[in-house]
Amino acid sequence: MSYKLWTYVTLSIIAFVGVVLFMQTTQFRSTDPVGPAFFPQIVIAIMILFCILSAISTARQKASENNEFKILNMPDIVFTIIVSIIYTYLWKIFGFSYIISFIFVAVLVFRYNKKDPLKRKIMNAAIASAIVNVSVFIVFDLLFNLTF
Amino acid sequence: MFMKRKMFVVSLVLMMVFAILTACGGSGSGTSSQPSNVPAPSSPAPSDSGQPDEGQKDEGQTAKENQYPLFNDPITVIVPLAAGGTGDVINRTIADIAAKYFNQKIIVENRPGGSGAVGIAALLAKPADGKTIFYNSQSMVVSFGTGALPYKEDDILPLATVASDRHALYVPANSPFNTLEDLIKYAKENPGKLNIGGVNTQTSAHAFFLKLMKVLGIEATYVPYDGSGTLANAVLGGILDAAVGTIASVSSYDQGQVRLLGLTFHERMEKYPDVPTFEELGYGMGKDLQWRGFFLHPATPPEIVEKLSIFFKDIVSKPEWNEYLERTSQELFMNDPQSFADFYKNEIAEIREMFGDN
Amino acid sequence: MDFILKFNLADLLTWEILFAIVFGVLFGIVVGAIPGLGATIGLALVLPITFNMTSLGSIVLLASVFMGCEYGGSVSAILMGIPGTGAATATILDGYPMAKQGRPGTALGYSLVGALIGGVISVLALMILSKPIASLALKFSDPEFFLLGIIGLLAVAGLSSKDIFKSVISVCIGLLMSMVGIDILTGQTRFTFGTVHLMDGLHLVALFVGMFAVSEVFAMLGNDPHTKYVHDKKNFKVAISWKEFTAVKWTYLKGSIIGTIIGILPGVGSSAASWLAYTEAKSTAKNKENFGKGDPRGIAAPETANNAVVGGALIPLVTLGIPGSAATAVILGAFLIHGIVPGPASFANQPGLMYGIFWGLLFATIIMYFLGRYTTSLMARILVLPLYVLTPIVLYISLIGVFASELNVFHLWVAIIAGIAAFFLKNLDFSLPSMVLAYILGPIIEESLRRTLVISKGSVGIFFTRPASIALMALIVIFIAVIAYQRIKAAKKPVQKDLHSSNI
Repeated sequence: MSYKLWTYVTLSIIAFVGVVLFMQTTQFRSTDPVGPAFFPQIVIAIMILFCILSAISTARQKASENNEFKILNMPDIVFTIIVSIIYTYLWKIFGFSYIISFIFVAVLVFRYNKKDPLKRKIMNAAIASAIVNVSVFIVFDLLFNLTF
Repeated sequence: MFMKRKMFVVSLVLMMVFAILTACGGSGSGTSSQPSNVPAPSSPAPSDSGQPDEGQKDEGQTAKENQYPLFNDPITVIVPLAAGGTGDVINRTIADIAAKYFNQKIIVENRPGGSGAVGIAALLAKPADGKTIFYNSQSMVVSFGTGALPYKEDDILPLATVASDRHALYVPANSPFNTLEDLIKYAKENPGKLNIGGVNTQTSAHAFFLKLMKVLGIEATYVPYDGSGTLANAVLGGILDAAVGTIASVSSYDQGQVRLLGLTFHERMEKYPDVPTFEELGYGMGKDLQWRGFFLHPATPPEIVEKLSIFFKDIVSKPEWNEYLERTSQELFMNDPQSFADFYKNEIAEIREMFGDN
Repeated sequence: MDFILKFNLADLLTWEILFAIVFGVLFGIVVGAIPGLGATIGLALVLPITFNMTSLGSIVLLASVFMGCEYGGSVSAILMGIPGTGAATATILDGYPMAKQGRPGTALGYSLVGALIGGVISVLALMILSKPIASLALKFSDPEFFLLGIIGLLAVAGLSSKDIFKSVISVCIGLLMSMVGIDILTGQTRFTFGTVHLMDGLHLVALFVGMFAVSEVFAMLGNDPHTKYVHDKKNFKVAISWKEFTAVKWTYLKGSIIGTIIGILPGVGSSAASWLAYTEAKSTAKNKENFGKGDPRGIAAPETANNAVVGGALIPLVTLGIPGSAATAVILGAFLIHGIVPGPASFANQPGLMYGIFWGLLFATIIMYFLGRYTTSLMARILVLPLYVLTPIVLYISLIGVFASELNVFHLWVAIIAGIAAFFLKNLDFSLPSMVLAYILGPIIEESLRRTLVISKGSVGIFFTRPASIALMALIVIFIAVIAYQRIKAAKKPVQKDLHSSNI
């Protein structure tokens, strides 16, 4: 998708969220005119206005200035997001676990490694993850008594 | 050159090791010379996290004395406030005393958020074995009473109170109000004009303010601030006419800067011999206190509740506790589970009524 | 001259004080460097140790930890793009790019020198000017805080930007984010979508770590995973040359003043100080293109400001007993535990103690410089790791840091979502720094204005009866005039096709 298109999409999302929040502000009870709804409403109004202005300004941009909107390495990014979501979800259910964290870091190191042969990749991932987790353990558990 | 560098690094590492050891010893007991977790030689019982320690049970329940340490595992105190500050210091002081006299390690866990909701959730998620305690103060009562929490007061079990702080009404030193009567007079002639500051809304300070307005028969405007620092700034800067707060927070200003117009509770305070109580002036508020205490999981077995109650009684009887109270301008306020539960329920009912009208 | 006459150097030359200073600074740097932990937690952790120390030792220890923490935050900001403390977030903008260019030592050097200067200047202010400054500070209350907040927002608008509409939208997003949570004036919850975890608002650490570190992780994935950021071992030396120093000396001075002043005002904080210093440095800079790419001034300004906050924050604390932040509240607690009530009486009765604290902090700041050089140089070596290892580490440490600050998994979600959103917004030329500044200033602006109106019973006249307010309003008018003039001048110049100008 082009830069312009992404911009329109984003502006629409922002404006939409603004409308949703605005509807919430009408539920606020207040005794003063400058109450809990005052500021949010002004800010949301400005925000939506500028979303429109920005959309117009983007439309008027010459096509030549239109950088191709490139996000490099989308596959790895998506992978990372999914893995992070799973990790956080497991964290929520089981509480913090060094084992799960070990796997988390190792999986990512493994995935990002594009050069080494399979065995090497696994070894690198395991070692890196182990060192990091042990360091975290030393620093947090022992030094600060901040048990997770 | 390399040698010098190496020696420096070595000494740095040594210092860090020293630091680690001190911090380790420090966080549980506060003294680096005390062993922080030495089990008492007389207890052979295994510590099973779900069960009370059989070996620790008192031989004769009528003796009502504890064998220490109470548990071989550390007791965790959940503090629903951010680290640092009165709520924190009080718990670390208790941990100190517990380690020094009773060989019982206490760990403080800060779980701030949601006016205490996050802390309660953490308490209820742990087993009801007495090894997890929840700290809170009278502010919690207000949170329950105003319905700000997704919990009811029966969701936690009162264990003990250990200290109390009084509420006071005060004005800056250069205020035209010299006595409480001056302020009342002005307020009656100018209803709603007085600006009285306090920390946050729907807190014990706010509740105190509302009660005070009722008993004094005046109308004034409550101005909430998000911390005692910003409140102090406003008071000393002169933009507020008066403020409400606890003695502990006020006493940290040097004495010349504010004038106390009245205190809650029955007798005058040693620290402030010239300040009258509201009660002696005829306005009641004799029972109004900002107390601090502990709660348990409601399913905790009664024997353990009793043991913990005695534990706290023992802690507050130590001289260090007295020193702490002195220094922070608080007073001893010891209650066992029963009397605590009684006034706790009453206060909540009162608050519910009060905020229901507003 | 009290601070020299009434001070006894011998009081400071004990093993206890030496331990307090060295351990305090080291501990502070390490705690600050760990994302998610900051001065408040650091101070709470050492508080138990102080129970058994003398009064002087306790306070010097705490003050040293405070000073070390504010510097420490920049370490992870520069080396990994993860803000160690909220205040260090501004340092990421130029510190991290410089590190990525293979010069982490220089970046850390700018930061450390800044910390030294900011710390020293603010402690000197503490020693010499505390009483007059403190009474001046009392003249600042809600009306003035509102106006100051407005000035801060205007500073954002005054920065040139590639896309002004998107900058305004960014500011609005920041303001809205700051409104999530309990409304202090009425006790109602706003935008919390029913969850208890949002009652206290979107957590600052979660938000900043998400916006900067997590989004940066996605950006890092766009690079060759087998490169390293640093190749030359020489670049681990944490130092800047004399020439480099003189080029930024005014930035250091301005940042120190901004930091000290903000430190004095209660409730504002080091995050605001560092961002305002950064914004000031950028908007008054003659050539701004390098900001956001490793401009030394972009490191010097925030770092010197956030260390200057330490000295500034101690001013109201020791002169009036007013704690301006949670961290200073811990220090106040320590004072009280030792039976000292800070204020005019303590200066009269125990001048040796009070001035001993100031001098102790001054020495601690200087020692922080030397200790900092070695310890952070060691920490900088993490950048020899190839990206395919470094990236997961950054992500992992970010999540741990967010969790460590509040022990609540909910905030991890906030961080991740913020990271994804920020990544897209940044690529679409929205302005993250504007968002952050708005988020920090939002509560100050809104609460101060509403409180002012409560106090004045709705009358705006209060702004015209207070001298400080009048002064600030005049400043705002001047500011707007200057910005307008600059824009008109810029519009008259031929339009330059500058597709690469950094966007703030």
